[in-house]
Amino acid sequence: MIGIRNIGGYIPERRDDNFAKAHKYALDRAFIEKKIGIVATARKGDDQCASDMCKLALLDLQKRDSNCLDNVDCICVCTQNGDYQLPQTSAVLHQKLNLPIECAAFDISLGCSGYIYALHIMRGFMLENQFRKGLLFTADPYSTIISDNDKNTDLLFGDAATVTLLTDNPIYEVGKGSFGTFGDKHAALIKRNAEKLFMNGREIFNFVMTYAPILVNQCLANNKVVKEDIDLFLVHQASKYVVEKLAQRISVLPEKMPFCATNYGNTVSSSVPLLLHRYFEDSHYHKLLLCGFGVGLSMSATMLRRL
Amino acid sequence: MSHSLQQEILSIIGKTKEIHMNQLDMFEALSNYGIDSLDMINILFDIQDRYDIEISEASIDNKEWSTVDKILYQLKLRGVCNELTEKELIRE
Repeated sequence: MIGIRNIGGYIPERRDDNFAKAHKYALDRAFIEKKIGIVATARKGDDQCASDMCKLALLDLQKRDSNCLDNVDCICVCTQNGDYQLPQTSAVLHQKLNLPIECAAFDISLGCSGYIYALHIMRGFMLENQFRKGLLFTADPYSTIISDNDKNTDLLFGDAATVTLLTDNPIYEVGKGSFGTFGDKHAALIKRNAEKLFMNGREIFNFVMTYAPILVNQCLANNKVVKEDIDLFLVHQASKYVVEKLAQRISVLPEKMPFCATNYGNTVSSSVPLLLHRYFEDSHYHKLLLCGFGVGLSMSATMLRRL
Repeated sequence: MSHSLQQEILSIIGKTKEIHMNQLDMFEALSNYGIDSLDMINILFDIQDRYDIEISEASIDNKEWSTVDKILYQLKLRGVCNELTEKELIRE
C-alpha cells in the first residue's frame, strides 16, 4: 500500500495587506474580513521560483522527518507556474535536492484540483513501478500572473508550496477518488499568453455550488461512507464565502469544513495540502474528505483514512 | 402578481441576508439593503437553481436583476411566472 506518511509546507513571510487595498477597490473592511475572508496574501520574494518554494517546503518536512530524502524513488511537482516553460520544474528541483539519476521526476499541470489528482497519479505510478518512497510537491506562485489592479484576483491568491511524503508505510491511506472536468467552462479561469490571469468569479461560484456537492457525495459513496463518518472536510480555500456556502450546500457543520487561509490567501494546488498539514498530527481525525476545484474547470475529491 | 412567487423570491433573499419582507421595497435596489456583490451572486445562483434558468453575465451588468420587481419581471420573461409584476399592475 502507498499512502501519506508526512507533509511539509512553506508560506512566504512577506504579505500583501488587503485592508490597505480596500480603498483602491472601493471595498469596506467588513467585506474583506467576513466575505473574502482573506486579510493578507502571501507573496514570494522577487527572485524566488516555484522550485525554491518547493525546497523550503521540504525543509519543513525534514524537521518532521529527517530521513525523508533518503532513497526517494520519484518526485512530482504540481504547478502551472513553473520555473521555466521547459524543462519541467521537477528536473530543476531534482538538481537542487541533489537527487540521484535513478529518481524519476515529472510535473503535473493542474490548478486547484491538482493535489488530489497528483496523489492518485503518484500512488498509481509508485505501485506500478514498485517504488517505496515518493515526494509530491505543489507550488503555484500566482503573484507572478495576477494584475495588481484586478480585485477579482489580487485580493484572493497567495503563494505557497507543500510537499507530501508518500511511502509504503503510511499514516493515511488514500481512498477512491472522484474526478470531473467541465472543459466548456475553461475560459472562466484563464491566463492567455501575454495577459494576466482572468477569473469569472460568478461562473466559478455557480460551478462549485452546483457540482462540488455531487462530487463529494459520489466520493462518499465510492468509499462506502456517509458524510457523518467524515471528521473533516478539507476543501479548496477559494474564499471564506465559497467555503461557507459549500458547507451549507452539503449540509456540513462549519467547524467540519474549516477556512484557514485568512492570513495567506488562496494558494491554488497548495491549498488542500496546507490544510492537511495543519491537521496532520492530530490523531483525532480518522477520516478526511479532500476536495479541490478550479482551473479547467476541474474538480477532484478523495478520502483519507488514518491507519 | 403571483404572491407565492414573490414570497419565494423574498425567502431566497432572506436566506442570504436577514431582511424582513415588510422592510423590502419591491423597486429599491437590493444593494441598498446591504446586499453586496457576493450575496447577489448567491441569490442569483439560488434563483437559477430553483427555476432551472440561466442568468447571463450581461443581464447582471445591465442591472436587470437588481430589485425584487426586476427579478420577478425576468422570471416572467423566462416563463416562470405568467402574471403581471407589480410595476405592470401599477401601470395597468
